Amino acid sequence: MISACWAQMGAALHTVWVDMDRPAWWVLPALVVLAGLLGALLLAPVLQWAYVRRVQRYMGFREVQPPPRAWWDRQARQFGRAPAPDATASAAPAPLAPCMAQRQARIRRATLAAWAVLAAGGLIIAPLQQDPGIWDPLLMVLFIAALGAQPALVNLRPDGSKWPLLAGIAVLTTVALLFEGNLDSDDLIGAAVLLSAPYLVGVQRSLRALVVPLTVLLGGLVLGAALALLALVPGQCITSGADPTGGDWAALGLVVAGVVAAFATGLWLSGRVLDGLARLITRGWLSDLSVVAFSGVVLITGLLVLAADAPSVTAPLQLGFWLGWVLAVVGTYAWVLRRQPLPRHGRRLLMLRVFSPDRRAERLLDAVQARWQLAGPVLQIGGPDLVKLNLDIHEVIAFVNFRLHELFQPAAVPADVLARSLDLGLDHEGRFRVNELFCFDTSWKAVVEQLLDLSHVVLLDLRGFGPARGGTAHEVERLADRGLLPRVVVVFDEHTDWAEFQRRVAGRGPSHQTLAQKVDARDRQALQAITQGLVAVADGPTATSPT
Amino acid sequence: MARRKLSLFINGHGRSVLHRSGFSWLAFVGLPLWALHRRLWWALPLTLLLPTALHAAVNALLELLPSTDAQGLLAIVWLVAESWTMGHWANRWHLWWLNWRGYQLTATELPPEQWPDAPTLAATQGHP
Repeated sequence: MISACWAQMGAALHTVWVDMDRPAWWVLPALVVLAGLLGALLLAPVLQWAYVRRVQRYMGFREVQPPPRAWWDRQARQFGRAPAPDATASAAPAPLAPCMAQRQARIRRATLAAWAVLAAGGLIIAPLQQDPGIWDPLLMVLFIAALGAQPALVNLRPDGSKWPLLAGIAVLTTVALLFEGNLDSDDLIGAAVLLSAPYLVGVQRSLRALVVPLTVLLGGLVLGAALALLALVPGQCITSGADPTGGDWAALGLVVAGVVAAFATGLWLSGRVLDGLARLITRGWLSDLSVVAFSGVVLITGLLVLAADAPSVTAPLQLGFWLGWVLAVVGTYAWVLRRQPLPRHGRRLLMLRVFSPDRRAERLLDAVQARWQLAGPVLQIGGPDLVKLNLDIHEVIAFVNFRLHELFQPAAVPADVLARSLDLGLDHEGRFRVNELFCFDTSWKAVVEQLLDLSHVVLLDLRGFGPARGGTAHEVERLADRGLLPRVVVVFDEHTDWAEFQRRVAGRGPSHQTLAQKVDARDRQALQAITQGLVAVADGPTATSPT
Repeated sequence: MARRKLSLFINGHGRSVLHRSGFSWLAFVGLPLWALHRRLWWALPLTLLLPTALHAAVNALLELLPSTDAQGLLAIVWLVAESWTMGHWANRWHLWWLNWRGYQLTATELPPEQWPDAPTLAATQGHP
């Protein structure tokens, strides 16, 4: 009975292996990527909703007892980069503006070199098309250059508008389609994918953080489904008939357990991959931006290689070319980065933000944050209003890995312990990190005070500030108490209640302390004014020694 | 069914675990999925073997019944009862396991009157 069952299972597996169309094995990874993208589009709002809801629940936690010292040590090991020196602690700092410019130039050169390698791949991929024309290689290079500009720009100017670029790609794709002789539905679907994919991966501010984790997660589900199909094979041993025997029930139990185990394995593997990706980001080998940019490269090259339809093209050739192309782009980026010196000096910025319903106003602080990542680490308290806006890839990974609670500060601790758990070093690309500290309801005020002690310069958002803003008022009072107002650059608007501000700071801290700079958010040059103001404070005498 | 309350537990080595109180629909649907969600990797094989062994044993017993109608009805009752038991006990067992492994309640959604009287970690682990 058992040997007959084994024989039936062997025959079934042999049939699956032999009858499976070999190119289908190659199409599977491409399907996983496309399914991930489609899933990102469909599931992103749901995931965002669940993420925001979960973060808000954690923010309502109350501390029962302080965590042990080992918890903070573990946080420092897991999320900080202990081997990397704190780049903000230099005793004899260099001027900040040249450091920022040098880091920007370094990333720009590496990105342009990688972009050129990406576009040059068109010279190889063009002859792999059916009936290539004489100008096809050149057109292909131009087309890939236009597509590749999207991830390149994400890496160069994360705060810049990508709409003109997306419009350029749309025009280029339309022209390419018009010149296509035998236009059919496949071409139109391909064009739609080519247009929507860069938007999903690179342009949309909060979606782009979700694409990579969701692709990995859905990839795990697809793999789990494939394994579950294999787990159905023992079902061959169930005898057909009205009266099942004990052996049939055992086989059925085996099938059910196998299917569940297959799905669990797929999910477990995707969790491991996400853990690895999160570790690469926290170790500084990748940043949120470069993950987005490289996922764009993987997508563009994958779609173009998949579209190669010359008779000589085989699945292994496609797979090998895809991997080689991606590795060449990534390798060029890393090689050019390594060839240039990287200034280590930086200054810590504390951003005290408030919610604004005006998305344009929020973009201003986003842009400041993105620029300051070339100057030093950004510290901020994660509030419910920022959850959706500041959705970073490592936070999404923590969420889908069921480890979001590890990002929260359950209690206040001495500033030096907190500093060790922060990521204050430069990553390998030359950017500092945004340290968004999520706090429980009972810990945020104490953590704000500790961050004040750790910061060289403070950006205070007073747009809409008035008597009802209790949280902001608390921050204003603490700044005044510590005599830190000369380190503060304030953003204000027509709704800022300056009388309330004066009332809050009156009689607190040293007398005659004044704000470093006030910037009107309605000013068209507000971004430049804020950046210059912050750099001036950071280079000045007040910022040289955090209290 | 009352809303589940979340609590954060941390042990002396700094490992943190999130606990959910109340009934677990995930364990009701599939115990291995619950174990995956709680990141209980070592428990995953157990959660696969336990239902499989239970199903096999119950199926063997059901075959002793003469009526196939009774077999089918009892099988359905068994499945619902087993799933409900898993859903009811999974989170309770998780809490017991956390306490047994030395995890301490550090922060929670629970109202203060439901907090346990536990010795503080600060006293035992040297809070800075």
